[in-house]
Amino acid sequence: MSIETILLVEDNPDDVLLIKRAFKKAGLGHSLQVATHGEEAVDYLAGGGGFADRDKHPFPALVLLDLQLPRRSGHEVLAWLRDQEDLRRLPVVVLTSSREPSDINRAYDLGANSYLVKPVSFDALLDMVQVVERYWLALAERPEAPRARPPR
Amino acid sequence: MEQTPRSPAAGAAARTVAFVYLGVALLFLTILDVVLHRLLPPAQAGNLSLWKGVAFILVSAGLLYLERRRSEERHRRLQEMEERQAQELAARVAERTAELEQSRAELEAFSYSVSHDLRAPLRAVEGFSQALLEDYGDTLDESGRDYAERLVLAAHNMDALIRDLLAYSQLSRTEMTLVPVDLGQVVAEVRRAMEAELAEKKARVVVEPNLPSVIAHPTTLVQVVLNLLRNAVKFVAPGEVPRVQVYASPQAGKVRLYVRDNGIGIDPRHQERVFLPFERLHGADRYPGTGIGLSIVRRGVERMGGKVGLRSAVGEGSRFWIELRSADPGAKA
Repeated sequence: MSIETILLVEDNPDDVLLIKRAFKKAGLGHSLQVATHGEEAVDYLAGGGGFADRDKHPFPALVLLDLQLPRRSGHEVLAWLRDQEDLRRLPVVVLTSSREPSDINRAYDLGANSYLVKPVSFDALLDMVQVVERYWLALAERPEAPRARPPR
Repeated sequence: MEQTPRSPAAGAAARTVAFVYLGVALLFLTILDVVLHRLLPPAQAGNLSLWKGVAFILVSAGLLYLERRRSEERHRRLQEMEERQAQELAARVAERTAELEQSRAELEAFSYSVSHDLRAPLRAVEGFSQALLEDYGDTLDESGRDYAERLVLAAHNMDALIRDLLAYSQLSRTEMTLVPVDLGQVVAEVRRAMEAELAEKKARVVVEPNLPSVIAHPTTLVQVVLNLLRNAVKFVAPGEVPRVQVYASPQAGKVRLYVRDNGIGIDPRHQERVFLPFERLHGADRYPGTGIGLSIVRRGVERMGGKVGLRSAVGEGSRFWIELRSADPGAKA
């Protein structure tokens, strides 16, 4: 089982708790880091703010990104990420409530690797988490992790 | 509303006016002639013929010119009025279009928030009730577990309701690009999507091979057939195994797809109502559902320019059909 880090960008505390529980049930609880708004996600990925220590806040192998976020929306985070020379290949799976074609299209246009809609049923969420982990962390070949940035 | 001068009736009227003018001129000259003959000595009166002719032509020409001017003026006024009316109409249409566009945008924003904002608390209700059952199930007594289970079930029902409502409202908003679609592929896709459901009910679905193609919007047609099939396997008498037949018959440039079931049937009195949203003929405890499935069928088919119908009697099952344009117009009926 993988010990890669997954960064969950999610503002709803209920969803955070439920997704954490799903990860724990799937035996992946230790690998989850959480950012609760868009700016925090950007800081985490850039290693800025309180996230400079990569031992405590490892660079993730995968981002699970909600779209409706305070400060910077998921779409904005995605656009920013794809614009960074050293980060832009990082796999991003959008995990949101919206099934609106405009949201889905925009996310893929901006370079999302996958788009998943949070299911209402916890069992379905558990399945989803397991499939995501198996596919993105075990099966798929991933791009090289970026080299550590010089401290800013 | 006045006639425009170009219309045949107006042309005839203008000619009548011209004749009346000519008559008036002639009458005037005759009177002049008579008066002059009375007043002047006969020797001088003989020279008047030439002048009479010239005066007749001048007077007639003058009258005709005046009439022409008048009719041109009227024509211009009419044109101006028409232009003004056309402008007003265009302005009104633009205004209405803007209003419609706004309410459409509001509807979109509404269903967006329905899909997003209503689901979030629902996930919490479902997820935490489930967590309660799984993590604290052994410390709860039987009725405690029953309550938590009811929470889970209610959340699932509401989720299905939101999903169906959204699907229904999306049918009105989606732009339908109609293309040839193979009914066989559609039915196969629907069966794949319903695999678990069909297995659970041990339903036997027999599909006629080589179904024809129709002109349709692919995703909408899949949704329509899915809801038809779901309806067909759902309303069976307790203990009965659902048996469904799917077949098609082409007729005069159209194709009818039939879905026949062995369900409890529908009283002819209720047959129109089953297509209305939220209409349910049975209690949720016997046949749970949202009451939107068949409305999706009808709305979807109508948006693709087709028709729906059914034939059914209580205790004899139902046969629903949808009719769409054939993708193969050369085919014999």
